[in-house]
Amino acid sequence: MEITFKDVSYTYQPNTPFSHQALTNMNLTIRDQEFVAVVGHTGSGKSTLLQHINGLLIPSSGEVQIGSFVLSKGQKKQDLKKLREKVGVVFQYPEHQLFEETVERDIRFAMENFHIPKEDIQPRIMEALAQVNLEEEVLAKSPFELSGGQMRRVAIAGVLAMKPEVLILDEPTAGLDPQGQQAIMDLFYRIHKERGTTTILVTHQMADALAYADRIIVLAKGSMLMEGTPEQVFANPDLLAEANLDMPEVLTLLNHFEERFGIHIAYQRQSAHDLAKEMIEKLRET
Amino acid sequence: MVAIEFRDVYFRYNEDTPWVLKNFNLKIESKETVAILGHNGSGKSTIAKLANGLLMPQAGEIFIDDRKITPTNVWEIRQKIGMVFQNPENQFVGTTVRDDVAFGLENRAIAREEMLRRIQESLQQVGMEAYENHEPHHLSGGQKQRVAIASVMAIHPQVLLLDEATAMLDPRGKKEILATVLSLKEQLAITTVMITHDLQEISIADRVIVMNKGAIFKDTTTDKLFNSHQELQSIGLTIPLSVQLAIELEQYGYPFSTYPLKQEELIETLWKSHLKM
Amino acid sequence: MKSYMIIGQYVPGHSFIHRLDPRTKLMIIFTFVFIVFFANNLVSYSWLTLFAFAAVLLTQLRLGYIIKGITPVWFLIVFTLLLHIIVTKEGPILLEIGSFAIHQGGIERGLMISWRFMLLVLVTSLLTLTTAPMEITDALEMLLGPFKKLRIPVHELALMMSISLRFIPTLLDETEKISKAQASRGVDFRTGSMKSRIYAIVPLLVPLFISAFKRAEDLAMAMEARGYRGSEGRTKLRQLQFKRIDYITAIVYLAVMIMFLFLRQ
Repeated sequence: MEITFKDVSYTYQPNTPFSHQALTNMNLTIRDQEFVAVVGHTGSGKSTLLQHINGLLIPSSGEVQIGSFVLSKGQKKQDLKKLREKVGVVFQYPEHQLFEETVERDIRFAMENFHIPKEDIQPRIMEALAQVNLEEEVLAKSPFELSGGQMRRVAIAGVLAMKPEVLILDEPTAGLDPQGQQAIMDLFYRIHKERGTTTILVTHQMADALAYADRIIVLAKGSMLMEGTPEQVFANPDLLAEANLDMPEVLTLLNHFEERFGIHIAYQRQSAHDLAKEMIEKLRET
Repeated sequence: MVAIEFRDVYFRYNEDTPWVLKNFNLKIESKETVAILGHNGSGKSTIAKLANGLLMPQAGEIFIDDRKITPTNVWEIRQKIGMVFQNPENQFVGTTVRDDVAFGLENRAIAREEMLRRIQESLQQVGMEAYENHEPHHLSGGQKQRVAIASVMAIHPQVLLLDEATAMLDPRGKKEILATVLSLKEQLAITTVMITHDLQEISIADRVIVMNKGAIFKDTTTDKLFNSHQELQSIGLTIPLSVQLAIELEQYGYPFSTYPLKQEELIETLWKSHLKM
Repeated sequence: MKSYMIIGQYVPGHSFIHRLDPRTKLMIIFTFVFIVFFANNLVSYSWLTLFAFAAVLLTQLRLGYIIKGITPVWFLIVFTLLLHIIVTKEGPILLEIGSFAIHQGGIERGLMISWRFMLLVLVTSLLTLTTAPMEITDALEMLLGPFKKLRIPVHELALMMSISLRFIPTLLDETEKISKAQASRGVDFRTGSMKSRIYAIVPLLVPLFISAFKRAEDLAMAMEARGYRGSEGRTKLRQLQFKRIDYITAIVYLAVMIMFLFLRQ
């Protein structure tokens, strides 16, 4: 689904001494089946932006369009539930949303709320479970008996089982160890490719933005500072620094390499093995 | 002097669960900076809680500053060993920064004048003196953790123990904490133990202990750690990019005496060998 | 985040009222609550109203904001008024519809009681608007200090209160976060039958309780690690000190109240 923000502003607690404008005149288009990374320092408006996409927040002014749904302040009340069925959200620390007695019932929960036909539910549970790489035995267990990493997978399975067309990921790897982070990101990337979901990833890990995103949106103080392909965005270290963001490790390394040897190597998602090979080949040419 | 010593320690949470630590021995010298590395469930956090007397071993002995921890002296021991926990939110007791730092001092019956002095001193040590009257919900995760460190430092402990203190922070928060720990190490020469699964953090340690399945898997200096990269990978630890590249480059005849954690080091070593070729 | 608003939420400031010692404010409000009940004629009511509005002015807060803060209790005030109008059968009849009559006494009494009620709400909301919750806690701990001799755990209660205050924003954020997560999973908190709405609370409450217990456990461990073991032998950072403005306020308040006694019938 295509997502468009037209002049969207959002103010928390308007008309009080605590009033705070979190988004200012945001204009943005996310194309169908695109993988977009939204990066920005804490307080840059990332969460506020995300919450407009499934109608958790309605713009104070301007308009958000998600597929055929239009959200704006004047708009009459519509069935947000239909929208939310299509837009799956994996919140930060999603394991905090688990509440059912068994894993199975928790995965089932969203599907039942969205009135998915009964006969579809069981196959979808099994499919989601396989996608997040959990064994069938966990279905009968209480989610609270599981390890933290497993709990997160259960929560993610509950969102994937909805088969959303848009997948919003709010720092889905926060707090995991490096191995767990890699596994979760690979999982989402696979879903994105297989199902053609429009994917919006909010992250602090520039390496993830670089590795997975077609396009990166950089937010600072509630406005868009910059957008473009990873190559374009990371070619602007000064603007990134202004947004309090780092360069991905691999790019700083290649920059160091270039400064020292005067040799430019373009990063095209090569593995360490291929990068080393390329370095050596270019060193031998000189 | 020995700051922390575990002698033949056995620990498990329940009688019907497996041992988390089994016949565990560890010695950390005074003024050392040690990183204890391992993935979730390797027993690394249990070590921290035992060292602080929050848990008691089923068998074996634990010494802090050559004094054995017993149920009767645990309060004095805790003055020697200050602990920072993982979740920044759940260890902030006071309603403002200064109240939080004061909490530990009040518990120790420090006189008010001295309290005010120490609050200033410890907030300066972590660079939070400008936030004295801030409330916790107006601070970032990294700032809250710095306050937690200040709260511990105000007690003047001999050991600073960080139990995954950066796991819930964003990259900027992590950097803040590392810079803070590094500056404390330089200013005060305090014994520092960092329990972590983040390889970036070991760069400021002198010594690294890798835990696996409740036992010490590797005990070595930081620069020698990645000499055994294959073993580390076999227990599921991720190797940093600069080390990965160094390993690859070696196969093309560029030698590395130690595998570099820092990118600059990698490039410099490569440059030097390149000049010789 | 932070889209919640609490009745009489503290607004930081440096007005005269803000600078008063919280104990002074507490004692004034405590006595005012009693005194309001002794008002019995228009003049004495007006006098107290004048006092209340003078206090409002001194806070330097926008009147609109203060009134908005007490809107949730308007309903109660109007309800009280109507109740008295209907129930009281005193004085001449003003209006009669069938068997239902409105008496002058009902209107008078209704107005008086609801006016009293409004003064109470207004003045207490001034306390919370101008005093940080922690200051109120300190003031209570000090004012109740003598009760320690009666084995009332004043320190523990104050600590509990301060920790609760400290975690209110955390728990509110968390409530909002979980309710948004569940709304994204198709829970509808706003529409539907009473039964389905009550049912919708479960996915919110269970995670909240679990997380609150986890936090309590973590916090207890952190407090223990930092050497907490009850009120015995503790020192205290927070100290309260009466200043000149407190003495002046006390004298003025006393004068206002003596005047009030003369104005009553």
